[in-house]
Amino acid sequence: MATIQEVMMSLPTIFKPEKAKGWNRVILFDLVGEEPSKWTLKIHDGVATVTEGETEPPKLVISGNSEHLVQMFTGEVSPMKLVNAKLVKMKGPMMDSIAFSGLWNIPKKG
Amino acid sequence: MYYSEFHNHKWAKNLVHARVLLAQDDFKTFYGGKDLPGGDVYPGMRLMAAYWVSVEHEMRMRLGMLLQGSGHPEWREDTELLAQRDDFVGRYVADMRELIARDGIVPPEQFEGLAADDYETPAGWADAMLGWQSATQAALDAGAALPPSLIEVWFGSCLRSVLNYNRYLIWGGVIAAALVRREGAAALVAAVDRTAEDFMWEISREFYANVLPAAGFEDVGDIMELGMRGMFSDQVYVAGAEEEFEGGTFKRSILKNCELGGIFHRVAEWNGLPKTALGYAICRYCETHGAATMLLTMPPMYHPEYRRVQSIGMDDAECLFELKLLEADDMERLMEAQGRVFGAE
Repeated sequence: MATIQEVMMSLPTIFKPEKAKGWNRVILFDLVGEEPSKWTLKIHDGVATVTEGETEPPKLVISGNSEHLVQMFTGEVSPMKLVNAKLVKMKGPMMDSIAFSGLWNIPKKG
Repeated sequence: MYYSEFHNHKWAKNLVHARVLLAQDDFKTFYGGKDLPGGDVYPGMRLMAAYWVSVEHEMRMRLGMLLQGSGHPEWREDTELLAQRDDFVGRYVADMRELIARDGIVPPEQFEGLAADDYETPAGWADAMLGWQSATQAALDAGAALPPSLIEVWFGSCLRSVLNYNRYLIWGGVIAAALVRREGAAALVAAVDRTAEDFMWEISREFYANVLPAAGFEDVGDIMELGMRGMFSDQVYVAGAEEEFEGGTFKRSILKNCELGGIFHRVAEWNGLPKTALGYAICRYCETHGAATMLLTMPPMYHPEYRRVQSIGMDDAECLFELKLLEADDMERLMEAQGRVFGAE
């Protein structure tokens, strides 16, 4: 399984800028579990950047175990299933939470 | 009992369950709810109060839409129709009185005070509800018993909302029946069709942009919980089997009872009409409301298709809705739906 650092650092490469037109957000990943850590994702003018730590005030906070976030971004479990099971929580405007899941080229697994 | 206990009085079952929990000093479940045997859910006071205040808003809007679509906004002041509304609402109040006495839900005088008062949604309902939520959560966090006055506030909120919700629902049924009696069944269908799409987006704006955030439900997890568990406040719901197929998923939702269907059946019968004569005036709005919710809440890796297959209101058979989720890259759909509800950012 990939590490959370590998997954976080891969986000700019799987980001779909054409799906984020006008969607400028700061998103914090506040993670516990196997690899407790915080990561700030900034989406601005079609560019996604990730930095470790909480570097800017977020509009959306995504929390949960790091291993579940790895599962989400590697396509092992769909975001909807993780949120439904309350394994991943999204705190912030509902519409941002739903739109967020469509911004990534997540691999499809069996 | 004038109305069907199964269709129209699930509120009583839930509030009786709340009293049982209080007798066990289980304040956490009283407020937060729990799953029950057989697939039912006791939603808890937090969800029930928010659910019922939401449907108060919805029924008020449905009435307005139907009046607008009918081309007879003046029927809101029609004395014959107002008299019929008051008669049929009185029968609902009588049912509530009977159940409250039978099941000891609240002291009879507490209910009589509510029923005699103006039970319209108070202007400051949202701030009040947020205050009750904070006070309840603080007591639970401290491991303290909930003060009796706070407990009764929750019961009072639920009962007031049930009264008001059903008043507007019955009023809508009375208007629908008048349309059929005065102008024929086709006039009712036309009135609904003229307003169904407006309702579809107006009710989404009302819920997601106004009422739910005001009631403290803004995060996706909270709203999903309200959507998935709040409905058990008045519904007997069964999630049908989920089937996966090449390129998508197929889900069925079954509603065994329907507050709206039960009311409209009775209003139709009391007007000398067939039981399902008014069903289109509820079921078509439900279908568009559901479709908008799917367009707005399904993640963009799916394209949702939603439809009513059959319904209590129109077919006198349990409601069956189908949701087909096709794998897609459907961000444009989500953004368009969000724009319609929240406006362009």
